[in-house]
Amino acid sequence: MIRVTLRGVTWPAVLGGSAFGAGILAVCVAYAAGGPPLMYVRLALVALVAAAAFVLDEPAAAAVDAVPATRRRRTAVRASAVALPLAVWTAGILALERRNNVTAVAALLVEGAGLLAVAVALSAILRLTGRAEPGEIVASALGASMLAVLIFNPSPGSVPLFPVGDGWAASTAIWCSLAVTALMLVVAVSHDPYRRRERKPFVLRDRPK
Amino acid sequence: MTTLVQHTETPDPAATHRTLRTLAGVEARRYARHPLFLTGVALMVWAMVGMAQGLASGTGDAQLLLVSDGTTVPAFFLGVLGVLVGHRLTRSMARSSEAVEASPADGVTRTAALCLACLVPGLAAVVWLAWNYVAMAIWPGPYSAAISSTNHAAMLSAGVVYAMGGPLVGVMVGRWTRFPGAGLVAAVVLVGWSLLGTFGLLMSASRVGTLVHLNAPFTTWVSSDSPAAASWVAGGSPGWYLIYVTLLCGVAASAAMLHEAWGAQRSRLVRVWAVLVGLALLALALAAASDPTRILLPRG
Repeated sequence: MIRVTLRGVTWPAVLGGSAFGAGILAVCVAYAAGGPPLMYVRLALVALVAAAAFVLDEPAAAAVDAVPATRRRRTAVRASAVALPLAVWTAGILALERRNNVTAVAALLVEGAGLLAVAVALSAILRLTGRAEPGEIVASALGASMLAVLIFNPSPGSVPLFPVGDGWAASTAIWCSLAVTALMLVVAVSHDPYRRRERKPFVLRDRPK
Repeated sequence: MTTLVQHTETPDPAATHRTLRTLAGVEARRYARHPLFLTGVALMVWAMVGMAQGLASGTGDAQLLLVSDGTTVPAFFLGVLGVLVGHRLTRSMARSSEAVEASPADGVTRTAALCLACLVPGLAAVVWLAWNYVAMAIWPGPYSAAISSTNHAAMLSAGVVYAMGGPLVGVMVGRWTRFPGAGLVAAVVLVGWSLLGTFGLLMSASRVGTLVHLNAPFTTWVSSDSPAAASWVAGGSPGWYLIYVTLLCGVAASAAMLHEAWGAQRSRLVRVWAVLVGLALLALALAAASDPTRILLPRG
């Protein structure tokens, strides 16, 4: 079952996004001698998040929903594909740390894991609403939001989602809690649509005597 | 017995124009109703209100926002988001290709209609530009003497071109690629290219530095050496830069139409595309060849 389910993952998007992110991270590592180029590192994260958003795409959902494997189980198997963008992110951050030891490794790893979890959770929520392929929408919306935060660089007093100088501890706390919330959401919204409501068994009333 | 007759008659240009106008109207309505475009417009209005509050209260360097954020806001909210809108509109048409191909319009006309629909974000950016001029009239800034009105107009007008350029890139990517998420990849590439251009601002004032700064499809003209230091306007010609980005839009549109063109039409479009690329490079060279001296802005 695992192999069949994994074969159904939209691998071109997952592999393409991961490869694109890996390419940006490789360039970042090459030019990290003067300090990690965090803006570009986060551009790589946009690509990886987009890759993660596609793991729950199920073009044949109508047919697959009828098979004995529950959606929750299929989601667990499909979500394991997120390991690829997460591995790329982890390798990139560790390589950055080797090149320049001022890199906030733990905070960046938590940030990446949190964002990937949020991407999967949003896809799971959209899938619950009946969209079999939520990847494109989630990737666009989440990617655009990330780009907006990166470009407009909110004022120092605002929530430090993508810190550069200070605010790493607060950022780690935010992404940690978002990751946990996202995981719980994925579990909560991955039930099968036809098991949404427990129906009362139909009982024939006794005829009046 | 059936006789096959090849239809060699050239289509009536008036009928082609009518079809293009109708299709462009349909695509423009689809564009104007797209949730991502509406979100961008809403965020732009929000930015407008925020900037007006800053200008009215006179806090910080609020007046500098008119020079620096005057183009950033439409470039992102209409241009970068427009890449995704343009891509989705193009791909949604490709999904129903069997029905679309049965229509009397050929692929080039349909792509041209999509390109014309990119005037919708351009119009929204014109409103933003007009608001910039109204704000400058109400709250005149100290930069007015430092930047000539022609250069300032060219700097701000680039916002309109960015707003149309992003969607045109989205249409081009939607035509030439099929993999999911290509629109976002294109947006990331555009943002990355623009960020690379900022390295020119870190270099000393020179023509090479100006070339590095201005080759990007989006640029800001105001920068400073540190947050506490006085701001300056980068060297180079804003007028030629405006022509450069406009020509880049033409390059994207002709590349998008090229995908569906065949025969003589294709070779004509290839020639147009090559000429536009050449002219864009020439405009970039002229923009960078201008005086690289940085103009220090007086503090408000």
